[in-house]
Amino acid sequence: MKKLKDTELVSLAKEGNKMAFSELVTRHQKPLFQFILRYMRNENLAEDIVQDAFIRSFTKLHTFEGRSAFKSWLYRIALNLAKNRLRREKPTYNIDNVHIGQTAEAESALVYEAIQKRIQEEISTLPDKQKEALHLRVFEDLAFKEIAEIMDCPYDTAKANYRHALMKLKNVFGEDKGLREWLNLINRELDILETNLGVEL
Amino acid sequence: MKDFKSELNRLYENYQVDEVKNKRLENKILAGLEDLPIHKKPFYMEAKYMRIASIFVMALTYIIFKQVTKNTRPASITAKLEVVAEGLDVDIVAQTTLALGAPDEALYQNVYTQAQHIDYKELKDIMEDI
Repeated sequence: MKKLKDTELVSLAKEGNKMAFSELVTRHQKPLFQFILRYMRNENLAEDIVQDAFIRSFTKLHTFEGRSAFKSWLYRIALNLAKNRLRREKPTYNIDNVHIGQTAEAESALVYEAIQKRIQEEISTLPDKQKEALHLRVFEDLAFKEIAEIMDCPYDTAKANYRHALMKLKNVFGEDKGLREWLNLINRELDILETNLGVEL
Repeated sequence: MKDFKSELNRLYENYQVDEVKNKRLENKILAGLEDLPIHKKPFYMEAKYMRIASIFVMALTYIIFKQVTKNTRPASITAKLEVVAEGLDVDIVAQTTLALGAPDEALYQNVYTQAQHIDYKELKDIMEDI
């Protein structure tokens, strides 16, 4: 089973071969869990979503026509579940204040933690499509072609969503002196997009 | 040189999948799948539901045909379909219409196949009721 491609495993699973589907689970479960965990920032919710996504893909496998990769289809199911769940749950995150009177090292760690929380918070409040494009591009390191497949949209739309996410973060970070370094990183990333117009990224 | 993607990845290291939890989740998923009937087709793919679905589709077509060409007095299609439903196995009509509400390619193909095996008298009776 381990040597078979996803498409071959899907064909076998459609015929009722559970070993084939188990192999698909083993192959995709960890990266999907990692992806959904970062998207939802809640381990228990992420576990539920990943489990539900596999059950749904398993029971709906007969409707999978292979127009996209199995991975894209699976991620799309999981993302839709995650979005619906987040809409219902609307989790709140506490951003801790940096405490005064710490050692320099501890203070630096606290500053880092504050920046980390701030940026994660800003990303979590991006519009759904922009957030999806950003997560898939940054954490999954996917090409826009694959992102478009997962988001079920044209290539240019996937790219535009990523660009809009960057622009939105740029505006927010631009107003915060503590995030100057991040502003430069975003500008460089935007440059890459703009200097490669017409090139598949 | 630092770049946006790698720095952001680093910033999300606090959301790293724990290997033990990951393995536990994998086992949970695999155990959950054991109980699911992968080989079983959805209920509406079974012949008895297809028969109902086919009659529904044909009856609906017939109703629209009558409405459009014969200029019969207006009546809601839903009401007329309820008449059709009365002549069928009521328990499964709701499920069948649900399936018809979210059709896929396989459903179309099955309706088409099964439609060719509808009992002529049954269809005639239903259409006369309409």
